[in-house]
Amino acid sequence: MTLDLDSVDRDGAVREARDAVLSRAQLLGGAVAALAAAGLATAGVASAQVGTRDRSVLGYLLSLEYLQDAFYTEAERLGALGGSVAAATQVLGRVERAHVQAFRELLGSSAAARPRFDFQGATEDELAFLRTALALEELSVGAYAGQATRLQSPEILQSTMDIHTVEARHAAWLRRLLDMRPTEGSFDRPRDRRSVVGTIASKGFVVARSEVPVAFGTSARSADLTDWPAGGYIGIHGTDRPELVPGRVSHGCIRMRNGDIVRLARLMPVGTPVTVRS
Amino acid sequence: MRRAATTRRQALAAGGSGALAAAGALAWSDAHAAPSAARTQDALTFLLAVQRVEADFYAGAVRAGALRGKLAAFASAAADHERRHAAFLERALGGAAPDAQPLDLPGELVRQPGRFALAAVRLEDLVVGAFNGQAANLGPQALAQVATVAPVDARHAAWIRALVGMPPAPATADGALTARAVLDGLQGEGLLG
Repeated sequence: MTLDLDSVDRDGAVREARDAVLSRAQLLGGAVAALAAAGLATAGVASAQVGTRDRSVLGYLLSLEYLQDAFYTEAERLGALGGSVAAATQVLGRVERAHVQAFRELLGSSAAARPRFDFQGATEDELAFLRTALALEELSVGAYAGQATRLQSPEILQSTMDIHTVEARHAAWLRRLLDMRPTEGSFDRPRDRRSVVGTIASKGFVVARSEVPVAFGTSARSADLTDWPAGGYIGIHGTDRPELVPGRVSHGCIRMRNGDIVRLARLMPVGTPVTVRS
Repeated sequence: MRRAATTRRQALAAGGSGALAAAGALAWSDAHAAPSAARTQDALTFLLAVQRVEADFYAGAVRAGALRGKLAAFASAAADHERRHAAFLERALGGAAPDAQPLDLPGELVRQPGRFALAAVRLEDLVVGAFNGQAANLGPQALAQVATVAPVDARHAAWIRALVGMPPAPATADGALTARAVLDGLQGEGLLG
């Protein structure tokens, strides 16, 4: 214990190598901050460089970030929360959106689509909001800890841990807002992927693996479509429940599989005459 | 005796230097090999030294008895956690853990509530950066162990920040710090005695 940096690393070369790795890893951390500020792309981290195993871990973590992003963003949009809770929601939402964007950049075209969520009122009631937010943050803390040893790239590991500790800060913050001790004990328990995925599934927050991507309006009206706020116009739209196609479940709208409606959107400019036949 | 000349900074740096060493050409791919046992040991030694600084700081504050209310509650919880963290990392290092050296802190850091709180904010933020900065230097077992400790210190950081009216989570990602940056930061706060 009598060595110091200078005696081990006389010419500075070793130190330089280590520092280079760290600064490369911080490209993502830096990019996350830049994303929050300016919505810029993740500079210097090319998606093609991410290995298969890391891709799987990042995809799983992205699904957790999607969940948190959607939860805070919806709470903010509905505007039912006030005071310090509303202020925290703004910050938390901004951070989780930046995490989503960073992971999506890293995953490139292999990033899963944003799922559709139903928070069952938890974004409108202060106590339900805080309890749910805390549950999601605690789940994330455990999930990130559980993935640490599965990541192969030191740079991605580094950046992921930089996010892990932010989720832990969020958990502590929410616990204070709930008048709870910021930490239960001296150690945080890691959670494996199966248990995290199972817990989320049990809440029923994820109602569709992707949203409805495209909807066309027509000038046709349906006599059956009486409960639509702006009147009974017939739409042509995708669906988050493709198992209902083909079928007669709507009040007149034409429901298509998402892949088909996306293709139709490429082929059919707005203004194209449409004839609907029974 | 030569040993007496050893500063806290040198002791910390002994671990830190290993953490800085031997990175070589790390490939950004699945083919990356886990860090060696020697590198893991160096990184753990450095992190143990940092946890001991925290444990001594909070224990000193509790002993001084000048804190009241929420600050006192924070200090005694953190003292307990950091003592356990240090013991945990000592066990993780097995027989390789160096002996602890007593830390002689400037009295005002543990006796003046305002100074204590700001030093604690700085310390916890530095320690979070220290953990994240060493993640890639740890073998799988040590990494899994450290991943149970680092988030608790991040909670401390959020906790004390909220107590002094600072944003609990000021960034979208906590910056990883090099061993050198951690040493400089601790020294700058007077936390290395």
